[in-house]
Amino acid sequence: MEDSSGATIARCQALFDGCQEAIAILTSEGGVLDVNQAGLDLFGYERKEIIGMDAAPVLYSSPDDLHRLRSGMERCGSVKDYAMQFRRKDGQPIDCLVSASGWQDEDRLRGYMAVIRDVTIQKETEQSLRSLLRMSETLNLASDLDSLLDALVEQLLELTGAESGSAGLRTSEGMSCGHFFQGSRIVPLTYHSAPGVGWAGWLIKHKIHYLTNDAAHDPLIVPEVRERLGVRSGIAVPIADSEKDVIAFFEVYNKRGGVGFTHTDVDHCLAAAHIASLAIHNRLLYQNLSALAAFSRSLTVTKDFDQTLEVVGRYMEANFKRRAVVLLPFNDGLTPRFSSAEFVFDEQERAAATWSWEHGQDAGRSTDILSAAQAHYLPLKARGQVIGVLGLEVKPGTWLSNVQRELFSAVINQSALAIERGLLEQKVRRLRFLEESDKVQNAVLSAISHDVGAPLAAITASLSGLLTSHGALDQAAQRQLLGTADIEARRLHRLVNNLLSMTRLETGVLTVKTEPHDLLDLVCAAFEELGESAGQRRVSFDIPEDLPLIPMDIGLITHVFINLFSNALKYSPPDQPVEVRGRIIDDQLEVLVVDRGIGVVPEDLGRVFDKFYRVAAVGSSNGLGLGLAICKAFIEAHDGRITLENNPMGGTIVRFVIPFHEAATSWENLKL
Amino acid sequence: METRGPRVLLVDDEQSIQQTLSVVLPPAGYTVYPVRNGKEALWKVQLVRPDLILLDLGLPDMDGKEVIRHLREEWTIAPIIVISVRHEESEKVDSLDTGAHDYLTKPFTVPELLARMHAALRSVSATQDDVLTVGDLRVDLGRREVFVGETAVKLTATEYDLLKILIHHAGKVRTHHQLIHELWGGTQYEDMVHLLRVTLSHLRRKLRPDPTKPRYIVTEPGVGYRLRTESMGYPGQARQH
Repeated sequence: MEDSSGATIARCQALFDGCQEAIAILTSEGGVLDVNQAGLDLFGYERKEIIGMDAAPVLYSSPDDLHRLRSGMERCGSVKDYAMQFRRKDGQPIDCLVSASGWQDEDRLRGYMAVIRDVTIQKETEQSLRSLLRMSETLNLASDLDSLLDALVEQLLELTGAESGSAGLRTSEGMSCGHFFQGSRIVPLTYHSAPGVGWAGWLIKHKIHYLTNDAAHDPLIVPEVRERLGVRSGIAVPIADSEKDVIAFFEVYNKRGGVGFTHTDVDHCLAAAHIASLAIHNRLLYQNLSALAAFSRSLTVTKDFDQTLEVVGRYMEANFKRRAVVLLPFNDGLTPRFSSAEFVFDEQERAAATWSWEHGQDAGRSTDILSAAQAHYLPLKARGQVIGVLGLEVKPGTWLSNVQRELFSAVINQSALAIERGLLEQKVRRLRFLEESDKVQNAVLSAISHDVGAPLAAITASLSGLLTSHGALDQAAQRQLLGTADIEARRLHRLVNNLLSMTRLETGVLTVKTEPHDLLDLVCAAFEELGESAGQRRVSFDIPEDLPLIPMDIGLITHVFINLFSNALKYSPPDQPVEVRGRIIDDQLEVLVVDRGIGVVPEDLGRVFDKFYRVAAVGSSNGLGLGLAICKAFIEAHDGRITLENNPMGGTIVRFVIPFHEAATSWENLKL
Repeated sequence: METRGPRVLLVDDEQSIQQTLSVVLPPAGYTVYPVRNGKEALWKVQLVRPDLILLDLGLPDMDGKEVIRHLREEWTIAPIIVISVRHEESEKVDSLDTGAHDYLTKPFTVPELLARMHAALRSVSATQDDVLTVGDLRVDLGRREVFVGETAVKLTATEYDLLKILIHHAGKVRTHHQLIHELWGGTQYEDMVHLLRVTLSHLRRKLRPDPTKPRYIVTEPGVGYRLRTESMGYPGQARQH
């Protein structure tokens, strides 16, 4: 029997000695009876130091743990996976899981054997994972990039146990640095690093993390940061997108406890960088999509073509930070229709743009063709056709993120579509205008043939009647026919004058020669021109004797009066008087021509001065409807205004004013 | 048929004008010699020795002013009346400056034409004792009195002088330049033209206080003034012949 138990004991001893897990045998009071090599390694003691030691105050971090262990074992005889913290010889706490089994003697616990598993690292890993999870949640909840970066730094400080940290985003020129935190306090410090400057600049170039535990002698650190935050050690980590392009970065400084950063810290940081990358990438994507949506929206509300081009150009400037030029076809070449300020479009640029236009491919800077140009030229295509060229200034060293690059093609396509739409709208408008012109021309032609034809017909009829009467008509009848021919001839004459005037106005040949004239005389001359058409009309003139000579073009104003009188006579019955009033008020000559005729329908009042407007009235509508339009043009050529109102007592009142400065031509100045 | 009346050289390329005037002028006592262009006019003038020349400015072969210049160079003293289209005021003034006596604007009426022709031919030889009459306007040069109908009209010295000039050349146009020169001598045009206008306005009102009566003095836009001799009548009254 001795032998088998001896063998068992030997085997047990072998197990005990060789076990990888730490095993300790202790008395119920906690005295250390035996510890295997693994245990010695775990606690860092020599054999002779630990045997016989009272474990309680030395090994256990807290007396509660021991108590818990003993109660557990007294209750169940053994315990499994109790979480406890011990202290090593060097004071470092270790988190462990303890499984123990005790032996009893007379119902009392005599001692126990404990297997102690060091789960410090596991615990730490768990903690890290939890921190990282928390970080992930926080970052994804951030409402914008600024708060995202703030949250990132705060979480990092917790994760790595660092005292302070910072973060920033990649820009087209380098890295923007900010979001400085010391503990939970914000440090107001921001700056921009060009590629190669500072840690951030180094990251851009090398795309891997940077670690130093001796910041005092570090050649790269930005001195201001070192002084402000008293940096002794630090880690700088790039945040890259899915294509390994650096889009942001962060830094942590001074691990608490005065120690340096370890590789574990680096691993933590790299994990954080991955998480942050997703969150930042998402944010950037969202930002760019919003910008694209806003861009699309603004394209749909542009009022005219030039506005569309403006939107495209400004978007390029704002979102891609580049000066732009938009070229569209004109005559036989291209012409810049939008150009950023200070963008010099010289012959070299024109050559590249033209090449791009002709070949439907990119040209200029950063291409193989005409790369001496300042800008990169892209053809704008819609439905397979090149409709224009967009030129973007290329600044060497400018950086665009991958998201932005993808955005770029979307923007180009949208721009091309919008521009195409604008060009089509222009075409439609031109076609409509031509249609209208045709309509107007046709209207004019038919009006002319009617209104010239009518008097001619009357003249022909009268004269042919006379010629063939062979004495059948008496004197009175003959006189009447002749009279008619005479009146109609004058009417025709006035008509032709109106047409000529209108043509002169349209072709811009009209010149205004102002000289001081006597208004009354002018009015009388106009009335005389009407000749027999005036019939037996009563006319009253209310023009003061001392009315000064008014500077005006006698030809034009006489024409105005002829037309106004002609209308008054045409649209009022022969027994009704026509009145002309003139006076000076407020530095203006005011003239009223009043008739008691049929007036104008209220709806038409706004249109009476339009070309070819005619009152739908009274027998034949002779006259082309140009009369009032000409009056308006002539009066306005004198910087005057003309209006037409209905006379409350029936008929119409035409009122026009011409600016006039009394001082120039008053009677008083000339004592004769 | 040759008559003894004044000989008129009619220079106009338009068939219609030629025909019409050939019909209406002889009964008024004129003998008409029609030509179609400038060249013809210049040699016909030597042949016919007209008393009056009616010259259309729109000739096919020569500029009307050139014709006038040639006529003057060849010592043709016959008065020239140019016929022009409206809106060529500078042309009118130029023609008058080159040597034409008067002008007529197309379309014109026969009474207007006859009045101009008559005025051009009437010799201007008034002595101090003359009384000049146009319509019911009477100017007694000897007594320096002016009457419109039975009413005496009080004029300032300048107004009277102006009226005197106009009535001397009754029916003919007087340019601003001519009037200024005759009233005030060779002084600054720019200053005086305004004074001329004002004087004329005053004169007009004094001669014809009732604006519904026909005007005596007609403004020729851009050119000058004319005391009218033909009676145009006034709308509201029967036309007179």
